[in-house]
Amino acid sequence: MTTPIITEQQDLTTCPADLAANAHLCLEHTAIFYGPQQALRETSLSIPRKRIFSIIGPSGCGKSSLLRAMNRLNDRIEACTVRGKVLLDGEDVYAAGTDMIHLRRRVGMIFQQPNPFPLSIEHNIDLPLREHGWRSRSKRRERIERVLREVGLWDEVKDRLRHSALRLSGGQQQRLCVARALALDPEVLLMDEPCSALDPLSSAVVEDLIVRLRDRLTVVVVTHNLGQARRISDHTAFFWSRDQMGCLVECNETERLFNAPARDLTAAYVNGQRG
Amino acid sequence: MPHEATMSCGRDRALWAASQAAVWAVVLVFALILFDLLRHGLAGVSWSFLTEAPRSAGREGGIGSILVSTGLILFVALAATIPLGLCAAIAMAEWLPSRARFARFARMSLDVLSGMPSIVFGLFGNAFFSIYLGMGLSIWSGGLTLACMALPLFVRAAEEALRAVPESYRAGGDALGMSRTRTLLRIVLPAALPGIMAGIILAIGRALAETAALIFTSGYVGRMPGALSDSGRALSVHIYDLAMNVTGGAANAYASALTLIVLLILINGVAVWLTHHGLYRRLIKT
Repeated sequence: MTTPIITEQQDLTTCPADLAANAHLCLEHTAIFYGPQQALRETSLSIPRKRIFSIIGPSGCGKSSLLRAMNRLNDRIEACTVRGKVLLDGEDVYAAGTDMIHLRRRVGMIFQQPNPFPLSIEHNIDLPLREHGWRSRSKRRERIERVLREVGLWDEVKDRLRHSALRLSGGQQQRLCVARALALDPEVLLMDEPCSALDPLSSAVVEDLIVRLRDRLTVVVVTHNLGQARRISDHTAFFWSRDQMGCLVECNETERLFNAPARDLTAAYVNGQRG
Repeated sequence: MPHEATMSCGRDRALWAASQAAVWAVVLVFALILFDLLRHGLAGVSWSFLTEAPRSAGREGGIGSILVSTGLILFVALAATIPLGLCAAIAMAEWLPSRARFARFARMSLDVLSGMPSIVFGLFGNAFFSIYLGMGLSIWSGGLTLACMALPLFVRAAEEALRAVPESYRAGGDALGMSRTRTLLRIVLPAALPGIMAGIILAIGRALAETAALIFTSGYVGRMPGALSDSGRALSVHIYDLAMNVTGGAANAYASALTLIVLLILINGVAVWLTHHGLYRRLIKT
């Protein structure tokens, strides 16, 4: 009797009440379209403050699209439309007149492929700081050192801050990108498979870094790596794709989702039988 | 011959041999031209040849005033091409993809323009700049006509260079709350600079080599130009004139042609050096 189809009537896709109370980011009936094609079924989700929230599921289930909807990174894609609400501290980021620069300062993003700019290590962090109005050079320097220490990169690069960031290893580049995002003091950090382009050792270093961010800011991490989701996150949302449309299957505390999933489909996926 | 182990079948070998022969043919053509120019022209090139004014319709004397005119025409052409072309390229690469039909139309127009024979540009430049806008036969109208010719070339090269900049830089800029303009100016344009420089070199090459378009626009006058509104004889026009219209002008024609080729090689070299050393280092280290 393990037909992995959602049969129960009970609604597991909206988060438990205790989650919603402490919600930092809230999706309310959020749906994503690329042109006429719907990529994500209407989804409601609460993401608790200063916790690590992971989103798992097979490729093409709308995880990344959903993540990019949270800081409106989809805006550059003309065909992409988002319906419903994405509430950050109760305010809809899709409301007219949203200050995009302010939104992106509050909600940072790390990509799958490390994307340092083709500038020096120092300049990679300095540029966004200046963009956000940091006039004082000495304060910028202090901040650069602080965030590089936070990601454990300072000792590795302090003698070559003026060298190209592109000459760093993949893992170092990804940590530089995290440092660059942290420099702006975001409240939320979105991470789109931050370790999947890295070798196992670098991946472990970045994973430890993510864990250290708990209690400081809200982290939403999309990952293909179930073990990673289980190790680092407090809550997990499981998405599945049906008729080429992503949908939320189950959202719960990570331990419960992995050990006592409410849905057969979830059980099959986390046990490696599906997906 | 590399990859010898993988060149097992005869077809591979034949293709390899044919492409190698083609490369040698290209090199040979270049070498022949250079050898011919050196043989006939080297004796004529000297400091006084480069600085003195031409005498006796160019049979004697040098090409000093011709070089100045060429430089001025080139300056006018680039001053018009670079800002205009860069803006057009930015529009096509960064803003217009969302309006695909207009972008396709713009690209088609540029392709048609870049394939247009230069004599057509010459006639247009003569009718529009020289007569309609009243610039007469002048360095202004010559330079602006060249700009019309070089523009499509430069726009396409700069557009390609901008498109080649990874999308992840733009997404990174967006995610860090940088405005699109700032991302463009601080990250995308600098990253595209080597390609844009290559486009400028293409434009200079096309402008320096041009003859037909200049005959009707900047004219024949070999005197030292006093202002941009004066007529000025470009180097390529001078070569054409000496070779075709002036009996006994062959020696100086060769020397002028050699000067032109060396100039082109120098500009290419400087551009390559700039893109690989100067600009790159400056961008990375600041």
